[in-house]
Amino acid sequence: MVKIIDKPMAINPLKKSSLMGAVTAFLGMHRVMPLVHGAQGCMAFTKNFLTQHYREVTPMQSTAVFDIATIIGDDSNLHEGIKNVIDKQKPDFIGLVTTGMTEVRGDDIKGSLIRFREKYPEYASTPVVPVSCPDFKGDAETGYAAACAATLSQFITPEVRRDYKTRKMVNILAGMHLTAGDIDWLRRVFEAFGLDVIVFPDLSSSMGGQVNHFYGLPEEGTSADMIKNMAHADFSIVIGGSMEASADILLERCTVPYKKFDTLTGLEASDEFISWLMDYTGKQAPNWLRIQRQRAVDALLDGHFSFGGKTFSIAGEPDLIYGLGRFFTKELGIRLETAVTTARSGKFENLPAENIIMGDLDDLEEFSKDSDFIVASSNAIPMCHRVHKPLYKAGYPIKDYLGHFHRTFIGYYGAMQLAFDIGNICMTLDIEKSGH
Amino acid sequence: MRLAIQQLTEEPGCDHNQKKTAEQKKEACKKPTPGATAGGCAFDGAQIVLLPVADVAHIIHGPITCCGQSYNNRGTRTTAGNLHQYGMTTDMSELDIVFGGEKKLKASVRHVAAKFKPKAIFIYSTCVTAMTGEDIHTVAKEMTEELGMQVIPVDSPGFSGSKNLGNKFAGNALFEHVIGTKEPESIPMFPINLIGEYNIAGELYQVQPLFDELGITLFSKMTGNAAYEELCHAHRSKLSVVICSRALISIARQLDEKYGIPYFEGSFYGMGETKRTLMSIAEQMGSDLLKRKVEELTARKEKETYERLAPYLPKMKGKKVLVYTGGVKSWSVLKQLEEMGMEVIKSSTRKSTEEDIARILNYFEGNEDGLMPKGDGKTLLKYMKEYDADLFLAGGRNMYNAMKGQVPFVDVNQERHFAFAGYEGSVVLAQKICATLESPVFQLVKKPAPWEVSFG
Ligand code: SF4
Repeated sequence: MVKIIDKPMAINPLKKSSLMGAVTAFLGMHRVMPLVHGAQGCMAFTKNFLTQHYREVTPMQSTAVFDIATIIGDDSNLHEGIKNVIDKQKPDFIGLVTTGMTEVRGDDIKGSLIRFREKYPEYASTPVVPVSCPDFKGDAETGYAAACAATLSQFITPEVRRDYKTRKMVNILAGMHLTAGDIDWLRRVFEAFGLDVIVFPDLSSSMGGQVNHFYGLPEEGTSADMIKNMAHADFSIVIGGSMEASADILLERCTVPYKKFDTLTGLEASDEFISWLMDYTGKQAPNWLRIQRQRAVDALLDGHFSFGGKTFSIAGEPDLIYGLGRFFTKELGIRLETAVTTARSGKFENLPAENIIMGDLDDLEEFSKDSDFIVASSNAIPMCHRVHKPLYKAGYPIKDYLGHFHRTFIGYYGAMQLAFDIGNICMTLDIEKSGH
Repeated sequence: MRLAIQQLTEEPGCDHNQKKTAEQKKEACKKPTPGATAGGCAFDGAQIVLLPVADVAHIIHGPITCCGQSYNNRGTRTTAGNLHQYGMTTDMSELDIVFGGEKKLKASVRHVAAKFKPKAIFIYSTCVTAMTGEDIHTVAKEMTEELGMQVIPVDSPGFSGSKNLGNKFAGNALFEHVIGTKEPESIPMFPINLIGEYNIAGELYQVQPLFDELGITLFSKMTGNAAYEELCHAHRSKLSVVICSRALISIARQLDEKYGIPYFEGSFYGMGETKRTLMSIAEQMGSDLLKRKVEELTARKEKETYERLAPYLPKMKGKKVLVYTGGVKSWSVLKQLEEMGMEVIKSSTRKSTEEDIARILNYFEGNEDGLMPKGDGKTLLKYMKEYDADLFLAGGRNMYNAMKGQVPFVDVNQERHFAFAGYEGSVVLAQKICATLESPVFQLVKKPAPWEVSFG
């Protein structure tokens, strides 16, 4: 049962606003400028946050709404912002993200964009994708999913279906919880099964460190052409429940069928995924994948001596904690004391936790008294210091820690790595307890 | 509230406004350009000033962005408490906005008061709560009476302006609601207010021993390593030393007007500036004994420091640096680098007052080429190349720009982990600079990949 803690406020919030998620999604698209419509602080905080998380240049802009009294019902900041971004950066398109402030003000974004097109026909060649991101609703994961869905709605036009038997190209609708390591693993698997993929959005390419020059727009993510091409795919797979709306758009407009994987973390989830791929392609799994599975199995066996009898608590966005929580409990056999999350989406309610809380890191601190270790973002570092518990870092933000974005948490490889990481935490606890 | 904001932007002690014509004023306080802006909002600025006070709670009244994306992210160090590590917000939902959030804010204040037993509570308004007309002043008043604990309103909606304006809002809140509300039990011999020093990475700890040795008491520190109580006592100091020239000059001016406490601007970046600042304090205190002590102490420290710097100086000599920072640092860091024999090719003038700019110009012997207005990552990297610079010294926002250009970089931002103040700080800075200049990485990354090498 989901618990609501009787508290009037958030202390050490777990939740990040939907605008942060939406901006993140646009960073995974090639030459797209995320433009935050609001006062400049929202963008500045978000930029700082994501820069520290990815350790990369994170292009984004703000319409810098200033003095409120003069601008009610006024298009000027928005129009000037769009014009300046196009003049200066020449993006392939703009991801226009609203804020609590512009939402409360009741800005009519669609109307304002129509007026923009009428007034400035010379800017017609640059599309603008608006996403509504009031920060008094939803969380980062919903904002990310909304930005993806808004982008697809704008670029995907109804298509006549072609040959169903080709089975060559698959769309990967990548949830916000996936790392570059995860996406690399997926690409390799799909390639091994002879399938071409479009990863949407693709943060692994834009924020993974492979762009080796200064850039004013995110580069190497999913391009507008690739996005349009998603209409021609034979299939979509959805990773993370939050991304289903995007798959629905492709299904409804272009009859691209899809399969949803709530998580790909853990042995069972990986087996289900690979079985599906074998069915879908009629091909056998490559040897390297078999080896990875054996190694994962071996890691679980090696680690199980220390997993049993341990307890943990976890906090994060729904898709993230569902995958990790399920693997740690059902496959490693670690007891889950408390799961704290930020929105009612995905499958997290199925987790076998003693407490499931819609809440913050203060609730995590309060309800993890029995836990041996904590799984959360680096915002939980001060808390873990206070209660003297090890922290396994997962989620957003991961600051002051190198390489998190390149670790793999899905598939057989991810299962092996997670089993090692968690096993090491548990073993260290055992050694400390025995007084050595 | 509009009136209050206007009044604050026309701050007479804000010297970048004082001597200007209306036209220049407009230019100096000009609005950010939509679609081409970088800095934070007024709320960000208010928190920079107040959050270091760690024995009081800070409740942000608004939806989640303001707190959720910003907390647990400051390099400030303190021994006064740990509440600066907490992000507290009313996390307004849609319903709260429709029905008004004052009840929720009051409940939050009660909750925080009971749970953390802070010395006081600051409540911050943000864009949404300011727009919907939430009255944080009345809430603060009522809660102060109910709890018998100071609850202090801070007007800081982001849309009202830049970080600098937010600094002033914070100063205003301190002056109106905190300073002078309590009397100290005793007043030491040489009590001073240190204004605009936030103990980033522990910089205050680097200079505190100097004051201890001189017998000068940092009576009220605004706000690095400050306890709430000492802020209340600021009106009993004999002198204010303002460390960041533009941001908090307003408090110093108000303290001067109301309590007759004189002020001047100082800096602890570099040995020369540290000495100048300490000597000015001694002079203002009118104590010959203190002046002699400063002479002795600084001479001894300089000697010690040069000895400690000896292994580093040859490596830094003549190396060219591009400096991109703001306010007082834009010139004081230049002097610090000069002391170490480095050559600054350009320094930024963003967030600098006219006086700051004059000082930078002075460094460049009047050559305006040394001045660099706002620049984006691309421009900065271009300068690095053009001038064949060896080192880039800037805030964290530029760290990854520098890495994309593969240029040696030293971080001087809010979140950094290294402190560069006083004598100790010069040694740390020299160590950091040398470590960066000598890193094998920058040679290695220029090596072509095997497939970039042509054979024959
Ligand atoms: S701009 Fe307004 S809404 Fe955004 S962070 Fe600043 S105060 Fe909060």
